[in-house]
Amino acid sequence: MSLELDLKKLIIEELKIEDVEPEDIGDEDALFGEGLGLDSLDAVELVVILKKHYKIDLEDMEKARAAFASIKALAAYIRENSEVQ
Amino acid sequence: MPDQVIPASPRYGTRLGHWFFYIVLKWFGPIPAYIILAFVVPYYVFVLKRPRREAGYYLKRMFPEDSGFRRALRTYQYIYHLGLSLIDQAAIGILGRDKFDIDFVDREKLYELSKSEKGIVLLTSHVGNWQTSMAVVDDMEKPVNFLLRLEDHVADRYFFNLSGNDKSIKIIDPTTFMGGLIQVTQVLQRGETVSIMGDRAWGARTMAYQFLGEQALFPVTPYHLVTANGSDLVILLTARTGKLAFKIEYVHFSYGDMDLKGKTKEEKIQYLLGKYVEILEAWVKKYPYMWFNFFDFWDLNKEKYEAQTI
Repeated sequence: MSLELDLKKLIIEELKIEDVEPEDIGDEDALFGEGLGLDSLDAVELVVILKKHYKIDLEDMEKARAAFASIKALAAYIRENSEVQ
Repeated sequence: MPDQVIPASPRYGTRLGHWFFYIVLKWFGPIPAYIILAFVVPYYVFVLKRPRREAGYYLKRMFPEDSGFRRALRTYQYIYHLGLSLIDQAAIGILGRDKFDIDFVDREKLYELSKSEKGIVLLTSHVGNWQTSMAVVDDMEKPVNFLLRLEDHVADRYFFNLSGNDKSIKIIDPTTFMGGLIQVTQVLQRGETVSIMGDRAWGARTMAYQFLGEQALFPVTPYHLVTANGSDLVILLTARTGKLAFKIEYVHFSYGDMDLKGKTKEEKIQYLLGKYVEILEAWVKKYPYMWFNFFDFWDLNKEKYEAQTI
């Protein structure tokens, strides 16, 4: 299973997003705002997911901003920063 | 997602007026400032409409039987206490906390709690003088992180510039990326304490809860942080008990000991919010002129809040 698909499943499950399947989320769709429609409280859950599943701390907010743009960007960030994939 | 734009609190008085009080404070101490305040307050109560209207949101729920002259008298007392709070807030920064008699109930226990590996969400409110309580928590071993905007107000800046040691107090700006909540989550994961206001709904997801007899909107962010991170919740309240005297109390909820099993995320948040509102309401009834919130919490028109904040 690809990291991108893993992330989609985790986000749907942990954020309790209803009526959305992994295949409904495009790799380059925006996660926040008009894309998947996540907000700042969902960002809290994403930070928890990154810590729990990938042992990643998001210290740099500019990198966090880039990583939270899409599934593709988040997966790239994990590949670069995590030893657990 | 754009960074949030959160409006400033309503502030009364001009910058010149504030500086006048600070000069009086610095040269003559707080007592002359309190006396001058008593003569300034009638202008805000009897001449200006805005303070009367904004104080009325709360006073008409706190004292529903009042009308006419009695309401005006309550408004005077309320605005006078706000002025006292602002003077004290600046005085503790200018004169130092040693000049104040601060009764911090179970202070040592809170310090012990803050040493644990679990993060703490320290929930404060606009009661008494929360900045005064922060002058005490800056003794903690781990940093206390404040999710707040240092509003364009000299008292706040005085307090944070002049009091405490810089290492123990950190500010997280809620107008930055994701409302600062990514940084907040990080510090909780490091086992630090995050201080956040529980009684200001602007710019946040809200939930309605019965407060002073009517449904009012409260932010859910603190409880979301508690449930997502498994953090402890500490509800801290302050009151001015006399001239240069304050009381600080808190209630601690250990995450592991709370009755949250089998509850959905929303039910957990509602449970925690309920605990907070019950504690806040009891405190406000005990110190009715010390809840300094001049917004209409009871206006459930959520669209209106969102339109003004994002």
